[in-house]
Amino acid sequence: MLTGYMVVSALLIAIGATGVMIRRNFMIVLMSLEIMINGAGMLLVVMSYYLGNVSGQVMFIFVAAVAASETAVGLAIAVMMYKRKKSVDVNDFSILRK
Amino acid sequence: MKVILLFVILTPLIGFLINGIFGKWTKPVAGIIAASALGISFILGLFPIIAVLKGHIVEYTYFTWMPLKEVVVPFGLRVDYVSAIMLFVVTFVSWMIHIYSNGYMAGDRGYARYFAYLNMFVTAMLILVLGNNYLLMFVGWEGVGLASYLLIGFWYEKSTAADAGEKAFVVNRIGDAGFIIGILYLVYYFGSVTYSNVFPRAEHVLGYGSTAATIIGLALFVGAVGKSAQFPLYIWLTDAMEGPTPVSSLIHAATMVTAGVYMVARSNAIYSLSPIAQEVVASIGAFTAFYAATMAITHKDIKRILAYSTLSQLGYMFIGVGIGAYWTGLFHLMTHAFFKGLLFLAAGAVMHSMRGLLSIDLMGGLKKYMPQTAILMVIASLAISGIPPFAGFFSKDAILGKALEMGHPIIWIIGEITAFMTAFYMFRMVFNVFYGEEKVPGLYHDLHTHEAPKVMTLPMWVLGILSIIGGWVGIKFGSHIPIEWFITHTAPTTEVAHEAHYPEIVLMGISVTMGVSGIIAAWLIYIKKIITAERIANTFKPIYTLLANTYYVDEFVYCCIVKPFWWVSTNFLWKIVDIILIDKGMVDGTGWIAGRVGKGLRVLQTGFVNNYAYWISLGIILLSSWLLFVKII
Amino acid sequence: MEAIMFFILALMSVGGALGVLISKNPYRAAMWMVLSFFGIAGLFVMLHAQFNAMLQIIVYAGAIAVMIMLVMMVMDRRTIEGLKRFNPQPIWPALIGVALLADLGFIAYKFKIDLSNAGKNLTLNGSNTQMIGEVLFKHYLLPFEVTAIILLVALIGAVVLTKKDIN
Repeated sequence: MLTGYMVVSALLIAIGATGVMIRRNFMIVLMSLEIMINGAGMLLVVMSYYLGNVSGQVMFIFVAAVAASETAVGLAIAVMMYKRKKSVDVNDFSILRK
Repeated sequence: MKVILLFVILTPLIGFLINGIFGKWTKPVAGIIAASALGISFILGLFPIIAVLKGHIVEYTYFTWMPLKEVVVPFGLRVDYVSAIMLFVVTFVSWMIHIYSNGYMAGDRGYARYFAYLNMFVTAMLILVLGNNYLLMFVGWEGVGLASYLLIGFWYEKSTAADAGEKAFVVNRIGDAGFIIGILYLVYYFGSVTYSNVFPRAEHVLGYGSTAATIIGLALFVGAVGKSAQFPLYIWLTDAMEGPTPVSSLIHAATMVTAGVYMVARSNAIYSLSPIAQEVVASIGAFTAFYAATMAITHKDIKRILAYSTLSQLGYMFIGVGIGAYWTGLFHLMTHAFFKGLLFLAAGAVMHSMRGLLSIDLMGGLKKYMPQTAILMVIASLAISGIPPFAGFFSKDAILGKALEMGHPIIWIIGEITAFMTAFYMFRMVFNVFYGEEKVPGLYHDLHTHEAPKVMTLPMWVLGILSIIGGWVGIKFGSHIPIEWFITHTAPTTEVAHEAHYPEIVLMGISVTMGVSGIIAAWLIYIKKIITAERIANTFKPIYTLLANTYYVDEFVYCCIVKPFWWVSTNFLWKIVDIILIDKGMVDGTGWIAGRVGKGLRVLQTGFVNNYAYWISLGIILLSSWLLFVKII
Repeated sequence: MEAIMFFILALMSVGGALGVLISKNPYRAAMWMVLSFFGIAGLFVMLHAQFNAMLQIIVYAGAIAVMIMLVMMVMDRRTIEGLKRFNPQPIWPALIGVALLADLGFIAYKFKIDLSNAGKNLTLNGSNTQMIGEVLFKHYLLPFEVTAIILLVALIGAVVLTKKDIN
C-alpha cells in the first residue's frame, strides 16, 4: 500500500513538473506548480501515517502556507505581466534575458 | 524591590529612548524629560540604599545573559555597601547636573541629542555600578566610554572636539584591553565572573601573595588607569574638556572617571591578596596626584586647571584604595564628586556668562557680577584644599592618615605636598577670576556678564551644601567612623601588622597647615602681589616651560607612537597591503573571475521560464539517481 | 474495499493532474485541478489525516483555485484561451518528465521502512485535530510564527507587485 501512495505522489510531482516545463500558459504553469507542491505534501502525510508520527501532518500545514504565499506572489506577477504585455504566455516573459 | 532596582536603570534608559528617537519633537521639553527621568531614578535608588543601610545586601538575578557551558553569566543587579555609595553619588550628582544643563544648554542646536546622550551615560554608569558581575561591569564600562566619546565630540563641527573624542576613545581602548585580560584570568581561575562567587573564594583559589592575584590585580588596574586617567594614560582627560562643561562636570570629574576607583575597591578581595599590586596602585596614584598638581599650577584655562586637579584627586583615591583602606578611597570619591562637580558647574557658569572665554588672564573681579557663583567657587575650593569643616578635609585626611598608619611615609609626604599645591592652584584660580581688579577694562560690559539663571544656581547650591556637610560622615563618632563602618561590611580594611599610631590631631594639623599655607601663598602672590607670578616664572624658566607644556607628553606621544604608526599605516598597510594585495589582487581578481565565468555561462541563460524548469528537473533527476544508486541499492 | 477506494481516489488525483497538463482551456484546467485536489483530500482521509483533508479542501480546492480563477476572470478571455497548448518542441521536456517519473517511481519501489508503527500516534483522545494542535503549538511554535511572517511578506509583496505601475 505504501508503494501505491508513493507512486501516486511521484506521478503528481512528475506531471506537475512536466506541466511547468511544457505549457505556455502562465496560469496553467501556476496550477502545475500547485500540483507539484501537493504531491510533495502528500508524501509528508503518507510518511506521517506509516511512521506513526504526526509531525509530517504538521509539516503539511507549513507546506500549505508556503504554497498559498507562492500562489499569491505568482498571481501578482501574472497580473503585473498581463498589465504590461497583455499576454500570459511564458515565452513573452523572457525580459530577464534582455 | 526587584522591579524597583531594575527601574533605577530603566528610567534613564527610557529617557534616552524618548529623547533619542523622538528628539525632533521633544526638543522643547527634552531637558525636563531627562531631568525628571533622573529624579525618578534617584528616588527609586533610595529604596535599595535604605535596605543596605538596614544591613541587607540587595541582589537579584533577572535572567541568564550568557549561558555558556563553563561560565554562566547572569544579568543581575547588586547593591551592597560599596555600590550603594556609588549609586547615591551617580544618581544624585547626575540629577543635579541634568537640572543645571537645562539652563546651560538652552538654545543649543543639539538640545535633545545632548540629553539623550546624557541619559545614555547614566544608564551605562548605573549598569557599571549595579551589575553583579565583571562582564556586566564591562558592558557599563564600554557604555560610559561611548557616551563620553559622543559627549566630548558633542560639538563635532569643531575639529578639536572631534579629535578629543577620538583621543579619549583610543586611549581608553588600551585600558580596556587590560580589563578584558583581567576578566579572562578571572574566568580561567574561578570559572565565574559573579562577585558573590569570586570574592569569597579568592583567598582559597589564588592564595595570599600569589602571582595569579598580582596578574589579575595589575590587569584590572590597567583598565582602571585608562578609565580613571592615571599616569601614563591620563592624556585624554584634559582634551576631554572640549565637551560641554556640564559633561566635564558629570563624566570627566564626578562619575565616570571614578569608575576605576570603584572597580579597584570592588575587587578589594583580590587586591588584598597581592601586596605588589597594591603597592603599584598606591604608587601610581601618589605619582599622578603630584604630577598632575604641578601641571595645574601653570595652566591658564579654567577648565584645564580643573581637569588636572581631577587627575590629582583621582590619584588620592588610588592611594586610598591602594594602601588597603578601601573605604577612604570611596569616601574621597564621594566628597570629590560633590565639590569637583560644583567646581565644574561654577566654571561652566563663568563660561556661560563670559560667552565661552576661559582664560584666567582675561578675568578678575568677577565677584561683583556673579556673587553666588563666587561664593560657591570659594566653598568648593576650600573643600578641595582640605580646610575643615569642608568635605574634602575629612576624606583627604582619612587617606593620608591611613597611608601613614599602613606604613607608607613617602606617599604621605607626597600627599601633603600635593595638598599644598592643590590649595595653591585652586586659589590662584579663584583669586584671579573672582577677586582683584578687572584685567581687561570694559570686557564684562561688552559681554553683558551676569549671574547664572536660577535653574543653574540651584543645583550648584545643593552641591555646595553637600560640599560642606558631605564629609561629616567621616567624623569619628564614638569608636567608629560612620562611613568606614558602613563600607567595611564587605570591604574589610587589610590591617597591616606593623600598624603605627600617630596622634591624629597632629596629622590633621599638618594637613590643615598645608592647605592654609597654600591659600596664603596664592593670596600673597595674586592679591597682595608681593612677588609677581611672572617673576617666579622667569626665575624658574626651564621648569615653568616644562610644566606649561605639560611635560611635552603629548609631543612625545605624537613623535614616538603616532608618527611611526602613521608611517607604517601609509607605507605598508595602505600602499602595499591595501592597494596591491586587496584592491588589485582580491577585489579586482574576484571581479575578473566572475566576469570570465559569467561569459561562459551566459550561453545557458535563455530567459525562457521553461528552460529553467528543465535544469531544475534535471537536477532533481541527478540527485535522486544518486540517492537511488548510492544509498538504496 | 480499501484498495478499491484507494484506486478510485488515486485515479481522481492523477487524472485531474493529467487534465491540467493537457487541457487547452485554462478554465477547464482549473476545474481539473480542483478534481485532483479533492482526490488528494480523499487520500488524506484514508491516511487518517482528517484535519489535513479539510485543510486541503479549504486552502487548495477553495482558496487557491478560486484565486487563480479570479485572476483569470479579470484577464481578457481571448488572450488566455488563444494560446497554443505546448511549447515548440514539447518532446524533450516530456522526456525529462518521464525520466523524473521513472526515477521517483523506482525510488518508491525500492523504498523500505519499518511499518510497525503504521497508523498509530495520529490521534489524541480520538481526535486528529487535537493531536496536530498539541504538536504544532508545543514543538513547532517558532516555525509556526515564521510561517505567519512568510504569509505577511507574501501579502505585502503581492500588493506591491500589483499596485506599482512599471513603465
